[in-house]
Amino acid sequence: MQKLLNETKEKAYLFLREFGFEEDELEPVINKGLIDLENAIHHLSEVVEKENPKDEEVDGVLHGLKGLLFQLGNHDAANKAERLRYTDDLNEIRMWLDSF
Amino acid sequence: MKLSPEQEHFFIERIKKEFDRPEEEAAETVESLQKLLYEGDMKIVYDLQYRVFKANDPAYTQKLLNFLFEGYTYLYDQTVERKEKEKLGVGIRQLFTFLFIERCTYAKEMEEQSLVSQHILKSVSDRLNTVLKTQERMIANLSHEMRTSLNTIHGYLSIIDESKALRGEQKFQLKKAIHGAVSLQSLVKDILNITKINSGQLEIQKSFFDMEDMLLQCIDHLSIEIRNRQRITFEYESMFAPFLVYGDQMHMMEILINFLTNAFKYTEEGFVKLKMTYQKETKGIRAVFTVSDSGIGMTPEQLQDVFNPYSRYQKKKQGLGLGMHITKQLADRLGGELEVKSEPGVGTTFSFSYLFEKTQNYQPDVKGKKIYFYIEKSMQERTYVKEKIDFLKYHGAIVKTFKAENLLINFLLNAQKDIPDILSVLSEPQNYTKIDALIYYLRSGKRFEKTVFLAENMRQHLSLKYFDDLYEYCAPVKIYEKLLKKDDAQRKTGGVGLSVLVVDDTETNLDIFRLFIGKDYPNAKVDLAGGGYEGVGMCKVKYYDIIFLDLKMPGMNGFEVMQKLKELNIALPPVYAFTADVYKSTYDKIFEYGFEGILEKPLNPEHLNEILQRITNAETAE
Repeated sequence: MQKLLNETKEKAYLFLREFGFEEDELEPVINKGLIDLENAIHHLSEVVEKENPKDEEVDGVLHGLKGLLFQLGNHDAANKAERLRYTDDLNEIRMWLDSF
Repeated sequence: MKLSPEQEHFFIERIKKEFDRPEEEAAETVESLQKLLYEGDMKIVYDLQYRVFKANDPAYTQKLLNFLFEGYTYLYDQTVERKEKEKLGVGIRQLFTFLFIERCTYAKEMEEQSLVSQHILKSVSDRLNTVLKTQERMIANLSHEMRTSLNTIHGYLSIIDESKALRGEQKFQLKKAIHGAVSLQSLVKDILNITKINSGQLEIQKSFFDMEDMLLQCIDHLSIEIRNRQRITFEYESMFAPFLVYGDQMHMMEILINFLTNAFKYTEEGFVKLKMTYQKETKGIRAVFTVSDSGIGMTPEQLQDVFNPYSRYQKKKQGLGLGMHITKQLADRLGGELEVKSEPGVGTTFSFSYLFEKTQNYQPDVKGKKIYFYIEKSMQERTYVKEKIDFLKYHGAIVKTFKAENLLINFLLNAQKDIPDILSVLSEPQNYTKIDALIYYLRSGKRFEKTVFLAENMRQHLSLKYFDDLYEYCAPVKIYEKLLKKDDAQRKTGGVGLSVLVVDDTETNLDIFRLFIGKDYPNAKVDLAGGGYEGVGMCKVKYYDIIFLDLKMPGMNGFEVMQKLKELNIALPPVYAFTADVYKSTYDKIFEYGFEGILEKPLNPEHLNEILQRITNAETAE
């Protein structure tokens, strides 16, 4: 997970700096965003580890994760989360989670 | 061969006269001289050499030289035989050689040795300096790294604290962790400061600044301490200072914050008071900043030691005892003077006095602006308030003062055309909430929309919602101009009192939203709701100019929220869907539900500003 957090942190600074914000304005927002991200990933891991998770629940968590990643400037990961919303194979989500 | 009695007499008399020696000693010296000249006995040479060395006085050496030269000439003239003359010559040469040439050689050798010693010392000193500099750099880097990490730790702990995720025992432990992180931050800051001072890296950066503004910033820095220490009354008193001074504001603030921190540290109950006075002198304006407390005080011995490093006089208190040492170093570098008075059990007063040689008169652009005040009775006679009002009048402001609450309320409820640009309230603490509610009432009826309501001298932290600016103490005079300018700028962009509600279940999205809106609309009031139910609840009690609504939320989704809002039977402002679902089906559904438009995720500030501009333009046109 640390890999995704580090990568997102770096991208978030690049993305949000483009709008003319200073480092000290961004730091608290990004730090908080990373905590949200960590929580969202934990949540997703818990949901996909369940025996028969509801599609709606998986979709909801992936949707939230996508929005957060988009907002933090990690658009590749956000697009991946969006694609996974339409998969029937939970292993694909688990593999994605394992990849970072 | 021997000196004749006349010759002996000649030398004895000369020695007595020139060197102020008794007869007996002079006779002994002549005897020794005789032995050198005629027997080659070197005793006198060593004696004289020693005396020259011991006296180390050019005048004595000169006198001795004259004596020897005169004596030699006298003897030489009286000697007839060539052989005797030669012997005389040898003796006198030996004397000169030993006394002067050897001394010169010795001096030369000493000089060379001294150069070698200096060279060795310099090289040792250079190496020591390099080691010290490396150490200082290492400490500075280490402290910097520690500070960065500590900021992160403190930041995360504060986020956990603010999220209210922990309760009971865990909350208590979290508070302890935050307290520890704050103490460590302060220690690291002290170490960094002292390293900078010792290594001469402390840069003095001067600029023009407002002293009152600086003092309020110092108070802000201590605001948590002031609020939490309920057994201590914090007092602030400043002379009215309508000018800017030229100096190093940052380091002066550091000195005053150290004073204040120290006062709170060593005071259990009573008061802590910050005061500023100034007077004009021929070379400029001398300001005296004083912090006094009713704390434990210091004995004369402790007082002597107070500016020395590591001089904590209560070991149970936190800190390294560097604060006051740093303060002294800073004051010295700035060229100010520190003074401390203390009495055990009574309290301590620290003061910092500084002569500002350059000042700039402040000329506010308030001509023709209506600045109205409501001033409660106890404040009406305050010199500060009177001087401030006179100053504003002098610069062309139209000032009106209400001296009773009923007069103010009567005015606010009935005024039609006489609308002030600023209405400042200096009241009893309990009245602010009442006036806050009145402002809400007036603005709901679209009245006094362009008036900036300012709450001054509240003397405590009050959670007021509708005042435009709040000051726990009297606001510095430049604030009025600043508020008027801000108001003008808002009018130009049509952003007066823009009130925004953002509903999203992800906290980061809300934070980023607030960040983006604040950039171009610093005065917009942004309320954040973490879910649909909360959003609907907020719309019930407050009118918003615009709402941004996340579509996919747990509990009540965005469409359901929209439905509920319509059912509320309130004047519905434009509602924008805030979504990353940019599919045609979503678009269709959005308009079907009565949304004004879509704001796509990730948030694009340009698009957001376009929407806000549209709203503010529409308001101005009305």
